[in-house]
Amino acid sequence: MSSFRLPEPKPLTLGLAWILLLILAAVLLAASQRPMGWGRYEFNILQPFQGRLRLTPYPALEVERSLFSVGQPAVSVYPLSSGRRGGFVRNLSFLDGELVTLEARILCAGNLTMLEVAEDTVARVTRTIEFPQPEPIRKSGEVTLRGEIVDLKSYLGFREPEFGDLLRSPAAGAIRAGIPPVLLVIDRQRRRTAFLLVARDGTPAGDAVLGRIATRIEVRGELRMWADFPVLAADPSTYRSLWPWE
Amino acid sequence: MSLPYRPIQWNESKVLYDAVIAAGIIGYLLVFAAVSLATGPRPDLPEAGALLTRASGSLAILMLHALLAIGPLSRLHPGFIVLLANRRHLGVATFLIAGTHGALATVLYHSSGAMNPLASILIGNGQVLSPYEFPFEVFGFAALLILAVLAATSHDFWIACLGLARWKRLHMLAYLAYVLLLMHTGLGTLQSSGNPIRALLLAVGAALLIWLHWKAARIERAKDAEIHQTDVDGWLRVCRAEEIPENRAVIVNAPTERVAVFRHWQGVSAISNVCAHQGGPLGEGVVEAGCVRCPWHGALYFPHTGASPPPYPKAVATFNLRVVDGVLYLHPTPNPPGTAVEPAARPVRRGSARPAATAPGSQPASGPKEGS
Repeated sequence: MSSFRLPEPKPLTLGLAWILLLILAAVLLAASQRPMGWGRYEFNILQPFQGRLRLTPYPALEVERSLFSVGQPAVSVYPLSSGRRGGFVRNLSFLDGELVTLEARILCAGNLTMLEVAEDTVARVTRTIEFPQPEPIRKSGEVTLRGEIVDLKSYLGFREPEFGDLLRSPAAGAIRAGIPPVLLVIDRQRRRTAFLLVARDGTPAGDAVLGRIATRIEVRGELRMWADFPVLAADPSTYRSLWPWE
Repeated sequence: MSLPYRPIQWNESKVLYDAVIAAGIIGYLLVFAAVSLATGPRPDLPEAGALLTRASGSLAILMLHALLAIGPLSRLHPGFIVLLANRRHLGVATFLIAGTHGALATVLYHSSGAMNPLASILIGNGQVLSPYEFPFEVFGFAALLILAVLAATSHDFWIACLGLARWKRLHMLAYLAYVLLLMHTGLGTLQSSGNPIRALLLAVGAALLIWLHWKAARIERAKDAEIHQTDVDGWLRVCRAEEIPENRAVIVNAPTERVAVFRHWQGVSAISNVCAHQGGPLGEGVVEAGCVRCPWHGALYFPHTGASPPPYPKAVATFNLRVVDGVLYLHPTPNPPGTAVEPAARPVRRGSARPAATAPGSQPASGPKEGS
């Protein structure tokens, strides 16, 4: 018979060991985890919105800003989605460019907001109202940025990319379903900027971004502004993966 | 024919066992939350649901490690048997914590989309070729289903319903659940930014479990390899009666099973080593108030009949013994459970010249002669 022998355990010792080991594990796991996301999902608050519906490059609602100065955009761009994995329903193409009302829940983090549209609440505004003209996407010049591709909803939600635990699988599913991909750039002062990713021709970046989700990459492209929302137009084939020390 | 169902028969040890489990669970959740809030880089409170999802998921897998370690620990030292007695309570608690994690994850990550949440988990992501996009949730879902079945059948009613052997085989699925959870957690870690502490704890936990099981298996294999001398009639040599500690047993390897040979106040009796309740090693138990007590859950058996005292219906097989030249010999063929067998090597009463009786049904000695 084997001569191996564990020490004599006492019930009290076993009970205390159970509690202490669990507490130690809690400290280790909690201290080493990625921080929680910092966004808010206002799941239970449905609010009415009015604005101009835009479906390209990604579904969004241009909402008139109540206060703005000369030189600033007259609208804010709120990307739209209709569910956790569902992108915005594209069979509303007949309303592209039209003034609409809808009901949605706000998903926000910092100064970035996305709207989760409640089903069957999008309707054309039938009365005549004053509203700023459709906002063109203005070009600002070539830039090289380093960051991480995320789906906008995860970025705004409780999974924080780079410092959080963005899960590639659900994020890829969300992007496939139409939720816009963004390049999340965090500067040395921990300030965050999300750049909506499009191809050089202004069309959605497409499935090419899927293989790069939640990895640090460098993108060289053209900076554009869609009202107050920064857009980065680049050929996805030129994205460069970064080494850990870069 | 229906089987009676009796709810949990609470006693002091069960209450204490559950209190310790609960203390550990509550302590873990509170400490996890406190450390999460204290080490976050910004003052905003984290999403409570996401925090609880992480805490419950990590706690469930830790509890499963403890659950699977209890069995081999009990083999390595009988002092750990105290953990075995109410292990099913820990199993049910593990399922409840894992179920909390599963429910929260489903609500948070799969319920606000266009798909049914279960469909979203099972078929929402078809990217099975890449480990970075693999739907790791499927493994967690499958493991949770297994744990649900095991929790639901963690009751003596199901042992009686299914039979001990079938019930044991069903509960071996706990190991499949463990492997599925390793894959679930491993792939989830890979797909996220990666938590080296989590990966390290998983690896250490798996290695520890494997080592414990291997050690326990070695001990059991060594016991199985012990060979007992047989006489020309095929009776197995046990030992001298006085070599057996009072009210304890020696375990003999018969060809088909282990046999526990107990020395008690009436003499020496042999019964199956396998408890009819949940297969515990009767030979590691003691004789108390005339009954053999199983060290796992306290089931009682009369040593000379193998039957449980009324009203319990369980019984184990008995074996015939004989004494030759003061040495005990065991007949390897079991009697039907509950068969009475006269104890061998009866103690000689003071003032009486009557020698110790031999076991009934002894084969005519063609080898060593009795009493010579």
